[in-house]
Amino acid sequence: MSSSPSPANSANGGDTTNAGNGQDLNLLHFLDKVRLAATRDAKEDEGEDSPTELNTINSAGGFLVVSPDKLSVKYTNMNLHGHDVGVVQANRPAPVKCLTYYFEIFVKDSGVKGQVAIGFTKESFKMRRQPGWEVNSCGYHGDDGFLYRGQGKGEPFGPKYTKDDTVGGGINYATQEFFFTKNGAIVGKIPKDIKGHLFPTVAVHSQNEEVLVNFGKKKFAFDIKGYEVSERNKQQMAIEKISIPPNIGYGLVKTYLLHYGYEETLDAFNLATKTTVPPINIDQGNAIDEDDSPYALKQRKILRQLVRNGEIDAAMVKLREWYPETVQDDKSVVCFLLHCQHFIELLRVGKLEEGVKYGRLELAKFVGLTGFQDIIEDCFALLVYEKPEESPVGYFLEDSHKELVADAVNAAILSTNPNKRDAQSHLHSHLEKLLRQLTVCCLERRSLNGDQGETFRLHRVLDNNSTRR
Amino acid sequence: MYTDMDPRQFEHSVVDDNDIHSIVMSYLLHNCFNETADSLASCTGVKQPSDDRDNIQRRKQIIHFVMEMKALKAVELTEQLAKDLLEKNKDLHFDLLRLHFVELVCARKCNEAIEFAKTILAPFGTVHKYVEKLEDAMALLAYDDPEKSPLFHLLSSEYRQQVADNLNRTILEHTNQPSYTPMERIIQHVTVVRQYLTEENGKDAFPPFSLKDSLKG
Repeated sequence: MSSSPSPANSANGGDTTNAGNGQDLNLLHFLDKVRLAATRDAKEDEGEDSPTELNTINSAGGFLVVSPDKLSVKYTNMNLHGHDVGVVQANRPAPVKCLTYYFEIFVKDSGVKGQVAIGFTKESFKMRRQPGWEVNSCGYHGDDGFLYRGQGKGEPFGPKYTKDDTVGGGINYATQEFFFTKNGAIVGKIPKDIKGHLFPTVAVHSQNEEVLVNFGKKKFAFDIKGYEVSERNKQQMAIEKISIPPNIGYGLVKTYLLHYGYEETLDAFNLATKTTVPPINIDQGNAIDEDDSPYALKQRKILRQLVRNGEIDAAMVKLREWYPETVQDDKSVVCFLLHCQHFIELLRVGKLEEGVKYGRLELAKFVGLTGFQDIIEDCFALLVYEKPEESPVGYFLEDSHKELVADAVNAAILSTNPNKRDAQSHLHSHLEKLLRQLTVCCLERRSLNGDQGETFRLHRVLDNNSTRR
Repeated sequence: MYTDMDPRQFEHSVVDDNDIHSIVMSYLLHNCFNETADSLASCTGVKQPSDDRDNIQRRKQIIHFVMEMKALKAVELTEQLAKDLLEKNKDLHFDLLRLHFVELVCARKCNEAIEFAKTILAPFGTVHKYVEKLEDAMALLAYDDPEKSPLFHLLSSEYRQQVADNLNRTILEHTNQPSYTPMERIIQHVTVVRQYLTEENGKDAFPPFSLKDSLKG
């Protein structure tokens, strides 16, 4: 990612985002959009490894025996005191970039005293104590049905469990809770105060106790998928309860059309909403600031058309004529994107040699400048491929990239508006701001949860809507 | 002070423009702005979902009839479009019929209005909520100028728009389409997440969310 220059480095008084040469550093955001296109096809979520079996190395050796398949454990000793618990953890900690994690045990033999336990512990756990008897651990114990979470005394939690019972332990990352189940039904949940990675943990403590562990290879007794669905529904229902300000959509669409300069669509929209009897009144106390008069609408439309048609030279001429400040600095983002686009247009029609010449002339000056280097390299990579449109850098040839360049030009023109609301209003439409706000808030919330839980993807929000009624 | 954009960590949060365009597109189609949608499609290159054009046209007609004070026409067309929709949504059905009553009162056709109320609205009256609503509407008859009555909002375009909106969503739901737009869901979602952040971390870290302020900022 480019390092955004700190806003404090300018000598200019008011607008600190312009370097001395008039360059608008805010426009670097459009380079980030180019990079977004590059990663769009990348895999959505990197797989996290899950626990698959019991850890035979880090276990209370001497007190218990783990089976060869590492999915069951038996207490072989005679327990004499509280520091000879047969504890064993899973081979890996529970993955965190998901909604929940869950595993189950089956009590094959409750032995002499039935002191089986299931829970979660950290890597550093003392492997001779029941989960929950030490801080930063928790355990649901079969002999008393209590929940232990770091204090000596446990608290009443659920039913006891014994031979032939299936008991499950889980983590809900959205609510930051532990939950436990018995024979397919939820027993209860408690807040998860422990941070960091947690290992599924099983313990046996009296002679002949034996427990089988299921990390997901076999079907669970508890319907964890159904549980996840109902948890997601809970959040969805909280969302659907929120009242929506009337006509806010109208304001968002109108300002969106004004922002991008889609004049015909704006006309069609104005016409359509005028004939909605009565006209939609957006002036009274609406959320959208009506300051967005159509600044330079005609000019922005013309420039967008030129860029779309690949007429980059003509676009630059017009910009120099109408808004010289946007292209004054030869090393500005707008100049960069336009030069790149010209290069791409030459390649598109097979004029490779001319393209290289042009690139050497106009793009070389950006090499070595932070923030441009990676994009130039990707762009030049187009030369290498027989079929560049099918290559990993093929996105440069798509219409969406032309639109991106047109958007940057659009933003640059908007930035010359003497009446603009603030230093950044030319960058994003209100709608985009809202989307960014949503993304940032979800990321922030997740970050405050120790980066646990499902990663936020706007698509999930959009797709979720189309499958629900 | 936490403003609408948290500069601390997520400055480089980038939104895919295609998502923005498709959100606007779905809003336009939800609200039957089909010509605008066509224009947007050619402007942005965003493909329109293969929505049933016929459905959009019919919905558009129905909604316009409500707004144009032709509620009975809207009811008629709705019944043509989806036979049992109004049966299954009695509240909505009642609201539409009551609109017709209001239209008659506004047109000073008081006798017709009373007749309509007796024959069509009264049968709903066994259920308490309808009784109340009916009584509200009947009260309009007591005024020479219904606009001066305390129930003038029943005559307002805002109220008609509310009913029209409700009808639009019900038709969409009935034809197995989402009844709320992604745009609306996003507004709701932002509000909820900001609420969580304030609840979980306190008002100093995350001041209560104002959509209005956040959009002005």
